[in-house]
Amino acid sequence: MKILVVEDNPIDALVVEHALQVIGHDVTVAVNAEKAMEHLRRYNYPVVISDWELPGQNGDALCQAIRERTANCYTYIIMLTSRTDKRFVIDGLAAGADDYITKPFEPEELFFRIRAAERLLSLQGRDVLIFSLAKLAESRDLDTGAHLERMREYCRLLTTLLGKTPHYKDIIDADFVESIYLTSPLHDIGKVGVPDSILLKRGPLTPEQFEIMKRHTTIGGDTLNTASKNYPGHSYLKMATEIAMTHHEKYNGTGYPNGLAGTEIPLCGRIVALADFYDAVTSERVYKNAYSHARACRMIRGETGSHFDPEIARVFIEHADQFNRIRASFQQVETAKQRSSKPAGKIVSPVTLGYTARSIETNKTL
Amino acid sequence: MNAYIKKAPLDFDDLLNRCLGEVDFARKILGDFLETTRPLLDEIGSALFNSAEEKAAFKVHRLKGTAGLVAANPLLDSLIELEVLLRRTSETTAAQISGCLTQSYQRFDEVQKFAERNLLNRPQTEMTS
Repeated sequence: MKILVVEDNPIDALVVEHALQVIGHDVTVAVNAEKAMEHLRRYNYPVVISDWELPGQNGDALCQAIRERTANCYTYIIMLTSRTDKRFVIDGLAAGADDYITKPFEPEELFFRIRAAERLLSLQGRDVLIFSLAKLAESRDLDTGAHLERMREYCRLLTTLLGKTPHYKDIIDADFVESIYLTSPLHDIGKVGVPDSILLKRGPLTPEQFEIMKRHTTIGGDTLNTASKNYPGHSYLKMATEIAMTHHEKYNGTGYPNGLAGTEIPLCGRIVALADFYDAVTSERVYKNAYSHARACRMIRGETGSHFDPEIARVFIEHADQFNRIRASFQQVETAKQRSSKPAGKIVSPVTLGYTARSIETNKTL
Repeated sequence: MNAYIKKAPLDFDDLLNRCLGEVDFARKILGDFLETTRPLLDEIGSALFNSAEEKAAFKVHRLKGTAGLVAANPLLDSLIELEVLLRRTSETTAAQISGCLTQSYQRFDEVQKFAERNLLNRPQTEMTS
């Protein structure tokens, strides 16, 4: 891993550099904050270890500068200080440092702190990778905008609220909430296996085409299930599998692919089903305008107990204004983007998801 | 003060540990420390002579870090005391600061003698046994 050490004292720098090189890291030393920022402009350093007291700008100012810049990857910052005063530690953490080591450091401590940084950075990599895969799968469908981003926010909120109810308080914990936020964007990943002629078709699908379209649930579910079996320690893969496989199941057993009913449908699948529906209904498509939040709520009420789990629908309706706020905040960002971009020809995408139109008009969802 | 007398001027095992057991590297670090510390103490003295306490405190802080790194523990204690005095100038007298700086010089001399006598000119096998 590339590590940037910011240390003006050559002896201290040499010892830190040596310790890190011994365990295989690629170390660069900068003697002050200005030089450090130069290095960071040129290369990506996942970890920066900085002395607190530097000539010119101090370590906390460097921290702030790193946090304020636009970067594609997170930079994990460890402050190295001979000050043990808690005030300095708090100031460093407030400035954006992730960790600190007091001088004189012990090599073992440095190694374990670096390992902690690697763990955090690998999680970040995992989250980015999962979302990238989901976006890639969605990229063929030009019509969905920030669907995945909105949907995972709805899922997180709905799951958090459910976790406060007596029925779910012992079932939904923080890890469940985080996992659904992480994996819900993968719900339609199986669409990579649906041919363009069907996925991008304008107008209604024939019954045969609809059967093929329905396979996206099993394609996604089977793919993720293989990954889950190969990596059994990664529980989020199990949840991702369940979501991909069951987000089109209906509470009354009329959904697909397996016609599961009630609590046969995993909880995550029941949550994503509602969040996905709400987003599809309240979003604009080439074949329809965005329906109002109120209209979406009426539709969800109408489908409670048939399409949606009654308890999940109840919690949604009870806190509907919070979902509306999320929807509105995304809409504001989208409007601002449209205003700031040059006028361009509207991208006319074929009717793809068919989710909303068909689910609304024919009660058949894809 | 008695506590200081009992401490060795340098804990080479500690330094060796920070250098991951590499004696040559530890020797190099110690050599660099011995070479750069006296001029740095002189710079601190000069800054104090010019009433630049802030600058002196920065240099003391820097030297304190390195003294800790090489495990020159009595010198480290002196430098900690000197930094505290310099950061609380309203509560300290010039004589206290001067006394503490003199003590730092003395302790550095002890480190130098100790290192030359026991470490720098001895074969590696004796140092690691």
